[in-house]
Amino acid sequence: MAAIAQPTAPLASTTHTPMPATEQTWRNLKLLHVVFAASAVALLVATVFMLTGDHNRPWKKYAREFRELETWNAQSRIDEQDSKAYETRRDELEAALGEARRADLDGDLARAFIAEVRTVAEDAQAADRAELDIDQLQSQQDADQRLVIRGDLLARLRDIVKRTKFREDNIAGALKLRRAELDKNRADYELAVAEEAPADRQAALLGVADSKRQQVADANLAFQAANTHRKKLETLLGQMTRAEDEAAKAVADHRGKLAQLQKTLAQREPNAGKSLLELPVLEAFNSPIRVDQIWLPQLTLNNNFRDVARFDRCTTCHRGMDKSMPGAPSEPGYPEAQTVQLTLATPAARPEQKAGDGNDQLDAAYGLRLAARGLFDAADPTVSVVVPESAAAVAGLQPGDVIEAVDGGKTLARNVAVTSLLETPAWGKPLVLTVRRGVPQPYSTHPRLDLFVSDSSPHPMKNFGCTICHQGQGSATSFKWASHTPNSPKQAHEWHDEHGWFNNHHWIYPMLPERFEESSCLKCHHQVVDLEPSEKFPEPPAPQLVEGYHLIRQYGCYGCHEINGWAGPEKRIGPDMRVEPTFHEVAEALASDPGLVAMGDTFGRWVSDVRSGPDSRESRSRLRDAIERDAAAGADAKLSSRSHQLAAVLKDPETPGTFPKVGPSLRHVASKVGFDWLYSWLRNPQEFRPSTKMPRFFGLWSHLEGKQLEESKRYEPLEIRSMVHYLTESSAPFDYVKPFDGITAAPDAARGRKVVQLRGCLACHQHEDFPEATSTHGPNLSRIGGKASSLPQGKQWLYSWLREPSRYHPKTIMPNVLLEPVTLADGTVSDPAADATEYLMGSGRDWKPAADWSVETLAGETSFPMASAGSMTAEERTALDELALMYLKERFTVVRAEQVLATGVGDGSSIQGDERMLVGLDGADRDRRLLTYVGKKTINKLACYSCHDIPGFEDGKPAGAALADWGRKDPSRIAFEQVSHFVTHQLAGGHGEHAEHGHGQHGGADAASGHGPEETLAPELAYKSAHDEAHIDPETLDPDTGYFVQKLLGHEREGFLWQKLRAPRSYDYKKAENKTYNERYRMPQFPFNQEQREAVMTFVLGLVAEPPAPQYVHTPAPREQARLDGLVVAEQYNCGGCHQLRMDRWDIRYTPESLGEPPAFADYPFLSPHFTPEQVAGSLATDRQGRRKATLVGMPTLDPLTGRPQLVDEDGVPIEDGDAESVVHRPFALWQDALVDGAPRTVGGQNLLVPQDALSAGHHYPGWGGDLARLLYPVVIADEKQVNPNVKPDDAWGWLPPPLVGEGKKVQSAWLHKFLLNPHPIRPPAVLRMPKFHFDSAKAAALVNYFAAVDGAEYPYVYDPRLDDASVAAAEQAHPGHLEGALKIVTNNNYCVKCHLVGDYTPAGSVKALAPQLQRVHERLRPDYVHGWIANPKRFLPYTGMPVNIPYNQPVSQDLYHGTSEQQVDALTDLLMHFDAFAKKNLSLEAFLRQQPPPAQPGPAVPSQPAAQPRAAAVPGSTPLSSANSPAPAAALN
Amino acid sequence: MHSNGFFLKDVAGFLGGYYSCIAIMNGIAALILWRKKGQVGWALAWTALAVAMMVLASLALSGSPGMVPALPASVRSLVNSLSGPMLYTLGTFALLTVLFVFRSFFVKPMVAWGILNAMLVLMGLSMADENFAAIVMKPDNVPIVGLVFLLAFFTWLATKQAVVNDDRIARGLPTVEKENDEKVLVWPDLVYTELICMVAVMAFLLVWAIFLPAPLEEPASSVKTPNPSKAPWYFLGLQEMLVYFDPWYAGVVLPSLVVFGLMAMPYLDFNKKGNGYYSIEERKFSYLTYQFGFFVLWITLIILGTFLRGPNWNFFGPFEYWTPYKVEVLNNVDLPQMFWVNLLDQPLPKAPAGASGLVQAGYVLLREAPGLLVMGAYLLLLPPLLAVTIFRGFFAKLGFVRYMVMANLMLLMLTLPIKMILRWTLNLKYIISIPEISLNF
Repeated sequence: MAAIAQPTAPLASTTHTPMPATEQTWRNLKLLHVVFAASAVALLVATVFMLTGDHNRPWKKYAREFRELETWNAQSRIDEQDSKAYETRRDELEAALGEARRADLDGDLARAFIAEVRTVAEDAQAADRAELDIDQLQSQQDADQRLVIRGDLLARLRDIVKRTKFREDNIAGALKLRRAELDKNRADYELAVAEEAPADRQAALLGVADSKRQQVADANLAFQAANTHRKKLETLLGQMTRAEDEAAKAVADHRGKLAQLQKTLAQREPNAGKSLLELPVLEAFNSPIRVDQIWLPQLTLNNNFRDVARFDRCTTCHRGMDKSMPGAPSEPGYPEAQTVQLTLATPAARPEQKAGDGNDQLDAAYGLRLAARGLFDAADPTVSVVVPESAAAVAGLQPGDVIEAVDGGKTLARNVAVTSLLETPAWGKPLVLTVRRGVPQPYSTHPRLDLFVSDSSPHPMKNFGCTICHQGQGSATSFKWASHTPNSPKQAHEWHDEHGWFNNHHWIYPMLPERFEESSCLKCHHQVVDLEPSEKFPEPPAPQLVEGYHLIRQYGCYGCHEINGWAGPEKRIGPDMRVEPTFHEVAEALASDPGLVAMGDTFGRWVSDVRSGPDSRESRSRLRDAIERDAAAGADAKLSSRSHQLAAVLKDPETPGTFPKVGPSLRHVASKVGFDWLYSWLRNPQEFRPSTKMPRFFGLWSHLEGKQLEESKRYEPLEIRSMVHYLTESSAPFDYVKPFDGITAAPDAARGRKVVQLRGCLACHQHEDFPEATSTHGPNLSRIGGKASSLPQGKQWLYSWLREPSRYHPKTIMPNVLLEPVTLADGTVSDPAADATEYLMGSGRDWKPAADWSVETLAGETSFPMASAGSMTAEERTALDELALMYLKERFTVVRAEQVLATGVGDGSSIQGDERMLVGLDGADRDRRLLTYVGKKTINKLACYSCHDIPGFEDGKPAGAALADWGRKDPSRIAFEQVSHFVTHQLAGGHGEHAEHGHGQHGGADAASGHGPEETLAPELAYKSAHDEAHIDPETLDPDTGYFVQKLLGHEREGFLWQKLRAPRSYDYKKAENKTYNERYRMPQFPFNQEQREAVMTFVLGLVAEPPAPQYVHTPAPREQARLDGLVVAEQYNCGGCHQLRMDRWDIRYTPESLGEPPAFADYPFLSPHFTPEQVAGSLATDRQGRRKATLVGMPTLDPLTGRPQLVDEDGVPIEDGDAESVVHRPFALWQDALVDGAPRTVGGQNLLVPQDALSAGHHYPGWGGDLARLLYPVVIADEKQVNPNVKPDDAWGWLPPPLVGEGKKVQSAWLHKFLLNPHPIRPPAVLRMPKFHFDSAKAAALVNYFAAVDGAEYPYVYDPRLDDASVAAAEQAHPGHLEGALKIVTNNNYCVKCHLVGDYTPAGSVKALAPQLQRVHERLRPDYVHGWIANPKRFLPYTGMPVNIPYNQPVSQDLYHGTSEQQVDALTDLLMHFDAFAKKNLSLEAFLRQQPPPAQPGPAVPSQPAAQPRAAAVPGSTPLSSANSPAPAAALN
Repeated sequence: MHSNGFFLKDVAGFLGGYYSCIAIMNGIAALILWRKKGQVGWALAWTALAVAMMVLASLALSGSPGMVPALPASVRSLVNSLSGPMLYTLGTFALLTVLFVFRSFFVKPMVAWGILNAMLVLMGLSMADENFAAIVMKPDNVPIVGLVFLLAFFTWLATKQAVVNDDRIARGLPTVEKENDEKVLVWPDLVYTELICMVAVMAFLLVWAIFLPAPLEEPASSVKTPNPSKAPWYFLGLQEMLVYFDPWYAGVVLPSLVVFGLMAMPYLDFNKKGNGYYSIEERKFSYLTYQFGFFVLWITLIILGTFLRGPNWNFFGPFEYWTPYKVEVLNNVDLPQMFWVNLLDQPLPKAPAGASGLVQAGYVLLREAPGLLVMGAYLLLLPPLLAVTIFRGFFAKLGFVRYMVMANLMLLMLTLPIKMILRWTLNLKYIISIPEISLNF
C-alpha cells in the first residue's frame, strides 16, 4: 500500500544526474540487506535440511548396515575356508600336481603324435624338433633336466596343436566364404528363372553355381581333413597329460571356492568410487544404494476404480529376506535373533599361552575364533570361525553367534569373553554359553524359505512379492508408511517410540499382525485342506488358519453364517463353506404328510430313497415333478400346501453347499430324550456335557441390568419350555430297531464295556472309563446313561442308534459298526449292541439337571429355576401370553393381536403360516397351542435349524451375516454399539473375574485373570473425561487381550470379532434398553478359548473375496486335487481315528555309524531300494558338528504293556523306569526305505535303534491317525495273553485297524470303492470290523482316489496285463502246469494254507493265527503288490507275521513247482490274480443237471442263485477249491 | 477419542515448542517496549506472560502426559454443550459487532497484543484435547488455522489505520496517507522486498513440506463416500449454505449473485470519500455491508465448515469426538405445511386426480400462495418501503434502477441469515417448495 512506484522516476539512471528524492529509499537499505541475508541463510538451511533428510532416510541406513553384514559374513566364510586344513589340502594337491608333472610321458603316444603331425608337410620341421626332444627325454637321466625337457616338449606339442588349429580356422573361413558365394550364385539363378530370363543366361548362371558348388565341396573336404587331424592331435596330447591335467584341475577347484568368496567380498565391499557416489547430493545421481522393488503387474492392487500393478519395495529394508544358507536353499541365511543356551566342552587342561588376541588359543582349545569387532555392536564378542568337528562345532556354535554370557557371567566385550573362555573355566568341565544367534529386523531372512520367497519354493519372491500375503503399503520405503501392524499394544508403543509408527487409517490394507498373518493364505488356497501338513511340506504351513477352519467345520458356524466361495457358478472367490441342500429333510417332511399314502407306492419309494439313500438324484427329480404336478392340481391336490412349498428345495442348486449340518436330527427327538433333559440341555448344554460343541443360547445376561434383565428372566424359561414343547410335539414317530432273534445271553454291562472299548467307539468318543481315549470327534459318552434314561424308551433308542445310526439320522457321520450276534464260550448267543447299551445306560445314569441354575448378570448372580414338565403357574402363563403377543404383533395390528391371543383365529381358513396353530386357542389346550406357537417362533428366532433337522424348518435360511468378504468389511459399517464400555468395565471393574463365565475348562486361559483392577488402570496415559469413568490402557493387559481391546477401542474389525466370539450378546450392553425383546442380538456363545477364538478369527479375517489373477490361485493338479478331496472326506468321517494315514517322520541328525551296521542284504531285485548317487552322497555328508542327516518315516515301537513309545538301551533292551544310566534309544519300524551312513535301511528290516540325541538334534513331524490302533495295542495284547502267553507283540497290529499307508498301491480302486460302501470282513483275527458309513458313492470315490493319489498309483481305471487271461495263457504255454504248480504250493501244508483261508478250507488253530481268504485276493489287491508281497511281505507291512516263503534264489521244492524262486513267485501271483477263473474252470453244472428231472425245463437251472452257490455245489476235481463258502466272520469275533 | 494412547506424549513436544515461541515473542515485545518505547509497565506485563509461558512450556516438555496444560474437562464439556450453529453464527456476528463498536479500544496495540496472546494460549490449551487436535492438526486444516490468524492481523491493521484516519479527519488533520505521500523507488523498495519475500516464502514452504508432508488418503471408492464429505476449504461457506437452501439456490444462484454484486459495486457506490486512504466513518454503509458479507457470511462459514462440521454434516463442539453415530432431529417443514395444515388445519390443496396440467398448476400456486406472497412482498414491496424510510437518501442519489439493484442485492444477501434463523427457530425447510418442477426456496 505504501510502496507506490512512480512510473516517471528513472531507474538507477546513469546518464542523468539522479534527482535528490531518489537518493532516499523508503526502507532502510541496511536493514533490507540484513533481512535478505537472513532469508537467504534460512533458505540455505532449509535446503541442507532437505538434503540431509534425504540422505538420512532410514532405508539407506539399513542398506548400508546390511552391506556390512554381508561383508562380515563373506569375510567369516573366507576365514573359515582359509584355515590350516585348507592350506594342508592345497599343499597336498599341489604336491600331487608336481608329482604328475614328473611322471614319464608315454613314448608311444608321443610317437603317434609325431606320426600324425608328419601327415601335414608344413609341420615336418616342428615334428623333427619334437622328435629330438623325445629322444633327449628318453636318454636323459637327471630328473631336473628331464623335467625341463618334458616341459619344453609339451610346450612344443601344444604349439603344434595351436598352429594346426590356426590352419583349420583359416580353412573354415575360406569355406564359409565359398558357401556365401554359392548362395549368391544360386539365388541369381533362381531369380533369373523367376524373371523368365533367356535360357542361355539361365544356363550360364547355373554353370557358375555348379562350379562354385564344386569349390565348396573341395573346401569342405580340406576342412574336414584339418579338423580330424587337429582332433587326433588333441586327443593324443590329452592322453599324454591326463594325470597332470586332472591334478591341475583339482588345485584350481580347491582354490576356486575361496577365490569365489574373495571375489564376492570384493564386490560387496565399498570402494572409493562407491563411497563417492553415496555422498549426500551426489547420491541423487547414481548411488549404489537404491530402492529395491518388485514389480507385479498381474498381482494387482485394488484401488476401487481400477486395479493397479503392485510395487513391493519391502526388500529395500528387508534385504536379507531371501538369503539362504549356502547349500541349503530352504534354511534361512539370517535367522531372526534369538537367544540359545549351548554347552561347550572344555579341554582337559588349559591351552598353551600365546600372545595376541587370543584367537590362536581359542582355536587350539575349542576350535573357534572371535572377530575383531562385532557386527551390530562393535564390542560384541562375535564368533567368526568355527572349525568343523571341533569342541565349538559340536557344541553347536556358528559363525555370527554373539557370546552373551559364559556360565551365567555376562561377556559384554570381546576381551571379557576371551578371558572367560581361556582364563577362568574349570578345565574338563563343560561351560554353558548364552549365545545370541541371528540378526535383528529388518535384516533377517524369511523363516519359511521352503514355502515362501526362495526360488525353489511355491511362492518365489519375484513372482509374488510381499504384500499380496502380508498386506501393508508395498510402495512405502519407511517404517511408518509401510503400515506395519504391531502384534501387541506394547509393540505398538515400542514401534511408535522407535520408528514413529502410527495407525494409518487411510491405507485400507494394513499389514497383517503376526498373529493373523496366515489369514492371507485363504486368498488363493480356497480349499484350506491343502494347507495341512503334507508329505512335501511336513511342517504345517498354516496351523492356526487350518485350526480355525476345522473349528468352523466342527462348530458349524457356516450354518448361520454362509461362507459362499462362489460369485457365480464359474467364479471362485474364496473358501466355500455352506450347508448342503436339505433334500433328505424335505423327504422326511413328505414322509409325514397325511397325503403320502394317496400319492401311491412309487411316490413313497422315491420319498424313502431321498430320505435315506445317499445317491438319489434321479428319485429326487422325479419326486419334485410329482409334487409340482400335485400342486398344479389345485383343489384336488393330495399333499399339503407345506409339501408343495418344499418342492422348490428339491431343485438342483447351481453350486450346492457341501457341508452337513453339525447337529443331530431333531425330527424324532421325542423318541430319544425326555422333557427334563431337553430343558436342561437348551438352558445350558454344558451343564450336561462340559465338552459339548453346542453353544449356549440362554442365560447370557452378563451385560444386562434392570428392566432388560427382568425381561430375560421372565421370558427365557418360557422360551426354553416352548421350544421343548415344539420339538416334542412336532417329533415324528420313530421305528426302533428290533433286537436279533435267537439271543440267549442276557445283556451284560461288563461285556458291553469291552464292546465299547474294542469295537471302535473310542476312535471318536471319549468316556471317563477310558481316559486314554481323547478324540473329540464324537460327543463324550460319560453321562450318556443320564440322557438316555430321561425317557422310558431311551434304552431302546440307544440300542437302535448303536445298531443302525442312519435310521434315526440319515446324515449322521456315525457309522454302523456292524454289531452282530456272537456265540460266547458257554455256547449262549449274545448281542454286542445290547451289551453295549447295557453298559452305556449305566454311564452317568444318576445325572439329573440342577433344579436351580445360577447365571451371571451385571449386578451379580441370579438364578434360573428348572421348569416342571407339568402345568404352568399363573406367572408363567402371563409371560407366555406376553411372548405370544410380541410375535402376534409382528403379524397383526395390536388390537387384532390381542383379540387373537384371547380367542384364537377362528377357523383359520384365511390365515397362512404359523398363526394357523392358534386355531381353537380358546379351547382347553390353550397352553399347549401357545407353547407350540411360541416354540416355533423361538426356534426360528434362534435359528436352531441351522445345525439341526427340525420339522417345519426344512427350508430355513442362514440367519447370520454372510462372511464371504467379512475380512474386508468396512469398520464404519460394523455396529460396535457400546461394547467398548462393556469390555472396559469388565476388565477394569469387578466383572473381570466373571468374564469367562460358562466357559468351563476352556476359558481358563483368558485375559483378565492375573491382572487386578488397579493394574489395569493406567492413569498416566489416560485422559479421563467426564464420560469415560473407566478408561483402561490396553498396554497393561496381557499382550493378547491388550491387542484385541485396543482394536475394539479403535473400532477395528479384529476387536469386534474378538468380542463377538467372546460374548456375542454383550453388544446389547446399554443398547437393549432401546430395543424390543425380540430385537436383541441372538448369536449364542460358543465355548471357545483364546487360542480357538484367534484361530477362528484368522480364518474369518482371511475371507476377503479378493482372489488374485487366476494363475496365482492355487489350482492343484488332478492328483493333488484328488488327495485334497479325499482329505476332506477322511477328516469328516475321522478315518484317522482308527487308521494311520500318514506315518511319523523324523529328520534325525546322528553321529556317523551310531545307528548300527546295515543288515546283510539278499532280496529280489525288484524289491531293492533305490537311491540316487546324490542322495547317497548327501547321506554321507557331515555337518559342522560332525553329524549326518537321515529321514526316517515310520512308527516308533510301542511298549506292549503300556502302549507308550518304547525306550531301549543300545542293545535294544527296554530301559526300566528310574534307570538313568543307560543311553536312551528309540526303536523305529521303518515304513519307507531310508539312507543311513550312505547305506539303505529297508522297510521290514530290523528296527532302527536311534539314540535320543540324534532325535532331539533333529525334527519330528507327527503323522496322522491310527489313534485307536495305538490305544488298543496294549489292550489286545493283554487280552490275548490270557489265552496265549507267548503272543508276539507285533502280531497285535494285525488284529487292529491297519495303517493305510501305501493303500493306493495295494488295493484295486474298484474293490476299495465297493468295500467302503459295503465292507466285508477280511482278516479273521481282527478284533473290530470296518464300519459301514452312510455316505454316497462320490464320497467313497473321493477316498479311493485319495489313496491312489497319495501313493502315485493308477486310478480310477487300472489296467494290468497280469489281470488279463492272455498273460496267464502265455505263461501256461511257456511253463506247462504254471497255475497247477502254484496251487500245489498254496495247498502245501507248509505254505499258504497253513494260515490262509482258501475257498472253503479253514486252517486249524487259533483264529488269531488265521490269515485272509486267498480266494478273494484277485478282486482286492493289485498284481504288483501281490507279487512283491509274496516275495517279501515285510517290505510292505513291517509288522506282518507272514514269513518269506520263497526266499530269493531259494525256490521251494521243485516237486511243487519246477522253476526258480522268481518263477515261483510269478506263478503264485498269477494264480491268486486269476483264482476266480481258475476255480471256475473246474466247475461243472452236471451235478445240478443230474438232480433235475431231465426234460422239465431247458436252459441253465441256476440263473437266480447267488454266484457262490453253484460253486458250493460243484463236485468234480480233487482240489479243495470246489466249494467256497467264507466262514462266518462273526464267529471269529469273540 | 480412542487413540493408541500416544496422543498426549506426541503433542507434548509440539506444545513445549509452541509455548516457548509465545514466551520468546512476548520477551522480544517486552524488550522493544522497554528499550525503544520506554513503556516499562507493559514491558513488565509481557515479561510476566513470557515467564508464565515458559512454565507452561516446561510443564508440557516434562514428558509426563498428566502435566500437559489443558483446559479443564468441565470447561470443554461446557463449550461443547453450548455450541451449535445458531450460537456460533449469531455469536460471531455479535462479537464482530462488539469489535466494531469498540474498535478504537481494540485497535490499541497493547490490547491487540493481549488478544493475540489470549488466542494463542487458548489454542495451546485446546490442543491438549485429542479431539480438538485431531481436527486442527490435520495437515489439510493447518492453513485454515493460519487463515484465522492472518485475517485477524490484517483486519486489525486496516482497522487501526482507519481509526487513526477517522480521528485525524475528526480533528481536521489530513489523513496519514496524505501526510506520508512520498514517492518510492521500484528498486530497492519494491523489487528487493519482493525478492526477499520470494526467498523467505520458499524457505518457509520447504520447512513446512518437510514437517507436514502432504496427506495421502485412501483411494476414492464409489461404494464408500468419505464422511464427512467436504468441499475444498474455500467452498465450505457455500457448502454450509446447502444446509439451509435448495442446491440450485445455494450452489448456483447465490454464488452468481455474489459475483454479480461484486461487479456491480463500482456502479452502485456513489460515495467519493475514502479514496486512497483508510476510513470507516466516511464509508460506514459500504464498510459494514462488505464486512458482514465477507466475515459473517463467508469466512465464519468456512471456519464452521472446516472445524465444526463433522460426520453426516452434523455440528460438533470444538472438543467433541466426531462420532458418525451422532443423530440430529431433521423434521423440518415447508411454509405451505405450516400455513395450511398447522395454522388453518386443513389439508394441502391438491389437484383432483386426472386434472389437466393447468388445473394442477393452479393448485400448486394455491398451495404455495403463502410462500409466494411472502417472497413477493420481501422482494417487491420491501425496496420501495425502504426507499421511503431508511434508504431515502440512497434512493435520491442512486435513482430508481440503481437503487432497486442495490436493494435487491442487499435483500438477497440477507436471505441467508434470515433463512438460517428461520430454520433454527421454526424448523422451516422451504418457503416455497414446488418439487414438481424442482423449485424450492
